[in-house]
Amino acid sequence: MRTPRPRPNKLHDELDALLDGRPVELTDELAPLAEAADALRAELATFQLDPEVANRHLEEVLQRSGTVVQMPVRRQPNGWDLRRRAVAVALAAALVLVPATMASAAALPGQAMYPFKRAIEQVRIASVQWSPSREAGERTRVANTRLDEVRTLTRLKMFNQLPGAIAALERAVVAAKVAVAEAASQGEPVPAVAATLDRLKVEGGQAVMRVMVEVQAVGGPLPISQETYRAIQAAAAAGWTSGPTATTTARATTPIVRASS
Amino acid sequence: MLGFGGEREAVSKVGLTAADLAAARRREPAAVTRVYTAYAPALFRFFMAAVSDRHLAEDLTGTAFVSAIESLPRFRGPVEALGGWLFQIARHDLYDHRRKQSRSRIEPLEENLNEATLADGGVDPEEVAIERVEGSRVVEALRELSPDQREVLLLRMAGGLTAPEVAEILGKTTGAVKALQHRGLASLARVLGLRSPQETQEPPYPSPDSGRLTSQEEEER
Repeated sequence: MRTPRPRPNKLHDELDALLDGRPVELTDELAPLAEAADALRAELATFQLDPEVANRHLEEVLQRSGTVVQMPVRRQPNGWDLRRRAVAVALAAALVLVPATMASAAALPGQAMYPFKRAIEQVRIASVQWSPSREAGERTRVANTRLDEVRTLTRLKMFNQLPGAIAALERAVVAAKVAVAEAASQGEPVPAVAATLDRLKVEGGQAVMRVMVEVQAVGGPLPISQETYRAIQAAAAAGWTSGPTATTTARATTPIVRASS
Repeated sequence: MLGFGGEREAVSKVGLTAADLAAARRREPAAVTRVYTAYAPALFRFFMAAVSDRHLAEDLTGTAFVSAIESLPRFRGPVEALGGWLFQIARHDLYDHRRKQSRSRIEPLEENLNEATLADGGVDPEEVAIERVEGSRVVEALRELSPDQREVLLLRMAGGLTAPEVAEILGKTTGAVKALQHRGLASLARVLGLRSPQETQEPPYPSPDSGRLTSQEEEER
């Protein structure tokens, strides 16, 4: 709320002029005010700064003036700073990656978030490559994810995505087999992971067979292209579940499914 | 403003030029000394009237001036506005001092007098007391005024600032400052026994009814 402006006042203006030393006619109203002002002025005039004190003040000011003013300098980061930066970067990355990872976790081949899901898997694999056993575990986990994708695509009857998904499953299983073998050769046997991988291969074969069943269960003309059908058929026929994991040399294994939709 | 006939360069009321200000910003000793010489006496009068203690007023003057010189590079106004800016700092320092003082205990008069005696080189405390009372008749009368009236009169008369400059420092209109100085001087005249018979018998401050503003107080807002 605005406060009302004071009314213009002749006496106020005249007094102001008087205090400024401008010529004003001294009325009866102004006289006592002028006298009070003179008394105050006279009193104030008695307050004289001691010259010694003035010199002391000046010395202090000039002494400070002579002091070199330090400009802010960018410090070299020390260990603590580096740790803080690392934490800040990790936090920023987490803020971006965690929601994206969660959003992409359920992505299926052909969906917008799927490439992101695969990229995150590659990052996770890269982060454990210093340990053969951990890499074997991570690659087996990825293979399991591919298997889940094949099952989900089959359930959703997204047949056109299946040849690629089966090929990806095959590649993931091969990579996991290589990692398990590598861990064993490095003296870091991972029997539990190897057992999981063996089970995964069996379930993978069953999943591919299930694909064939689902495709054939659809009546009338094939719901997929001939090429896709042949690719799925070839994958199912190959079975790709031979041999125990630990003794399998992955590089000798050839992907069964080559065709894509 | 004291202009020197025909000079184009801006000159403050106390004779400082823009070149002085620029040099003081660079902390050139000669310019800093000129600024100090121009304003320190007024600053000291302002503090002295406000705190009634020479040593304290000297310290406050020094502190205000040091902080002003250190902050001078941030002062962007013309040389004519330097006085107002300095008194803004002084006022801030005074409030700061009062805030600190309000937290500390109130020392008995006896102790103060003894301290003053020691500081003055062994002068009789009674003499000090008498000197203080006699010498501060007008300053004591100032205490009868409202804080706003007192501050306006000190900035106007001790600081030598104009009504618009005081208005800017206090965040009031020039009209309000003029009204405050009028009421302040009227009260001062009454307390000092200089009051003309035509004036009404209004108490200086505060109003008898604290819940209701007088027309005088309304005007001062």
